[in-house]
Amino acid sequence: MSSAYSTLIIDDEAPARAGLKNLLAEFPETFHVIDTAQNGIEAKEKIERLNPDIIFLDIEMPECSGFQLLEQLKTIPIVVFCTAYNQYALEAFETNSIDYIVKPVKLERIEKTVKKLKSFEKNVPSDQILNVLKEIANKKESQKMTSITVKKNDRLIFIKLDDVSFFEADNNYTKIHSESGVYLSSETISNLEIKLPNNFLRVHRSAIINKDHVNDIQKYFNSRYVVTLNNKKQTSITTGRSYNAIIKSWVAI
Amino acid sequence: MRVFLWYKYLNLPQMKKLLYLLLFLFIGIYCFAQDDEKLPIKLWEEIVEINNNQANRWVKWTKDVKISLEGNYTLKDSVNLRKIIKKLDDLTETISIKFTDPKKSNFKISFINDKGRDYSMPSIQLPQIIASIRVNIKNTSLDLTNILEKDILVSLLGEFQSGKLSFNKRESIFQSHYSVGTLKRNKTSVKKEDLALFKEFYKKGFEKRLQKAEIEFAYVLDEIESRKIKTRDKSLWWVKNPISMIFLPLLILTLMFLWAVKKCKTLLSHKIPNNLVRFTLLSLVVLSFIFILIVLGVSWYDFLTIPDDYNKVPVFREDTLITTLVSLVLTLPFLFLFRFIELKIQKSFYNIYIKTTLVFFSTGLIPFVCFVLIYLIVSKDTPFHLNHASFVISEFSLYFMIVATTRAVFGFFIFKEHKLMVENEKKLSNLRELKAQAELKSLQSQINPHFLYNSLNSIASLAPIDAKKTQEMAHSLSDLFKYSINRKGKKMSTVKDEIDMVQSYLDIEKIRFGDRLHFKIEVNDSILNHEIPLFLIQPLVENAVKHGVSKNKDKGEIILKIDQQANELIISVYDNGPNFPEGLVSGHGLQTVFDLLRLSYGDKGSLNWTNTPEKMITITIPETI
Repeated sequence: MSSAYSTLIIDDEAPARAGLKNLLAEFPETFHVIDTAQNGIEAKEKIERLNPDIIFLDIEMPECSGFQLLEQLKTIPIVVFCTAYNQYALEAFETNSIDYIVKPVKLERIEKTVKKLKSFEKNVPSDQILNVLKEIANKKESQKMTSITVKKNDRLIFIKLDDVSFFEADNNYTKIHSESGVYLSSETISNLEIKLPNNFLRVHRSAIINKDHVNDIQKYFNSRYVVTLNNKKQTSITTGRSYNAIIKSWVAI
Repeated sequence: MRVFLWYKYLNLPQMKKLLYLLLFLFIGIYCFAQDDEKLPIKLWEEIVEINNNQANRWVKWTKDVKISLEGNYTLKDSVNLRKIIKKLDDLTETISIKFTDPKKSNFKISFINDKGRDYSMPSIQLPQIIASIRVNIKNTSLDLTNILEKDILVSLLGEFQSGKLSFNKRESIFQSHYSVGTLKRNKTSVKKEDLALFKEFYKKGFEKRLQKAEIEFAYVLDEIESRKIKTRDKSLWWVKNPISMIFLPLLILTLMFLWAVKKCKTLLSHKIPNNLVRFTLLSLVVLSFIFILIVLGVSWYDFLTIPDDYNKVPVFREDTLITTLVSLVLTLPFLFLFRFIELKIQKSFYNIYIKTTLVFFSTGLIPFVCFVLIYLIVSKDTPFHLNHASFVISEFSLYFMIVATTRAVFGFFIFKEHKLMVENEKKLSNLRELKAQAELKSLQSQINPHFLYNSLNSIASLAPIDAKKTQEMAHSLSDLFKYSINRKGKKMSTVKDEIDMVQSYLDIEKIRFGDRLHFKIEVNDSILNHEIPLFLIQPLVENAVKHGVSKNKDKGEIILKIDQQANELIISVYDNGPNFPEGLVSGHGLQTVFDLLRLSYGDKGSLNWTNTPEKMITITIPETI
């Protein structure tokens, strides 16, 4: 039997640190918690100084993401990721080199980790871990946008994105067409295209439509389409030629 | 008892012969019994021509003419008059012309002393008086006699627009002055042809003879037409059909004017916001166009139809111009009246039946009344014939009734449709409002599940370690729930209660974040009892924690301030986290606050945020105690 793994707990919330420490204390032969860290900077310093075997790393930490931390490390220890959301289930986690646990951490889950550890390899290819982290980071950052703000005179107006039927470019601004009226946003249409959730599709140099508000699509000349929306005015938007492929794949023609 | 079937006898051959003979005899006697008297040609040609001009109306008296005098008349006048009356009476067969006293008379002759007028003017007065003449005593007695005779004759027969009785080319007293091309009064004296006409008119059997004459003298009309045509030296077809010649150009002109009016309308609607001024200008433009159209049309028509060698008529006749101008100018105030009525009808009455009836009346009666008024005003200086006038009025009233009925029918259906649409819109907006309120309610009564999840995680982690802290946290959480559950149906809460709730919330979060969260609540005691909507403040604070504190690895500061300024409450939440996002936001918290504000205060509540000089989100609402 190998000696216990020296463990470092990295989490920004005190109750989470205390809780995990408490749980790991149930497995003294596997885990020996040497220290805890509050943020990425502290963690880096402690890893380099104390050289732990295992680190329990919280993904949802402010400012310094786990990715940035690991990039800066010369050697990467065994990593067990902790996350509050279980949508980051990735295939990479199927490998035995790394593990993840979903908060709140329960005793039975730690038992599983202990079992998995027995088949862990010490030297894990670092780029594999980094790739996994990258994917998690990407998935996480796509926080779904639900509203758009528009400044009018001296006040803010919040418009639900579900109510928006389409966006129309107007010089360097964008017109927002929704149930409750037409608003002018200071964002450019290209910026919006990047930030808007998946149900919005750019169909023209100056138009982004809400796929959920589309009534019908008809073929038009020159590999273009005419999209009719089901708003009050029943607006029809003619698509641009360069967006032909995107629309085709959306409609799966 | 056997019924006598008499008709069966008719089938017998003898009976048939008898019947035929009887029929033949009857027809023969009828034909031969016709008065084969030959009609005097010249006279009847005139009569036929007059009768066939559509604008002419015979004034036929069926009652006996009872004349009375009034005014400053001398004995000599009276004697002369008696002579005239006797002469005319002898000519007439169907009626008699006599003197009576004023009470029984139906024909009044007034002798007036009117300076500046040397003609008499008939006018209508009492109902039993069918005609009356006013004679100016300034005239010499010979003139007076002539004038009297002429006027009596005209009153008894009528005035005709037959042109210059072109067939016989003579001037007659019965000629209406309109046809002479000027507005001057007819100055001819009584001729024997006129007397012959008068005599013939009041002979027994005139109508029958007229019918016969129509057939016999039909060539008169053809001659007149062809004469008109002969004097024109251009090709034949368009002279015969002047209407076809002017129709197309007038149509094109009308379309051009319509387009011009439309352009004016759009131009004006941009420049002049005032509806009334716009309407005035537009109607002036339209009326001037109509004036041009009518004048052009009538002049062109006259140009094409009046023969060259006729009275030298100018291209634009004076009377056409003046009449059209006066009528159009007079219609202008009436247009305002119509517009006013139309607007009133459109705006006020909701009941479609009332609306339809009003439309019917407004289109049928009021323009009709106005038209009658205009007609009276315009024809003030001209002889007024009751029959002619009443004919014109009744004709126009018919037109107006037709237009009014059509309009009322269309209007009814349009109103009905409109009413349905309005009702639908109302229903839709009601439903939308209900939906929004329901959504809001559902959002309001929920504590953010993520928050709950995180708190429970923290409680679970803390439980084996720090029992006291766990207990505190669990209590705070239950307070939070109690606040939201016990407020069932209530939409408003007090400032104090909201702050207590925020306090509970922040206590829970403090346990999670420990030293990373510091908060301060600054509220004036005087406003603690003011009413504000439920769950208004907490989402702001939660947003500050979520995006301010948890994203900050160092110490996070949150300050909640509630101020009172000029009848408004200003609720501000400061934090020292990263800036508010541009444009798109994630999470429903702030959207909920915005919707709640809009539902509770409409336009009077506002939400705003700033990043510099300090990161702050502010709600401004009107004060309610």
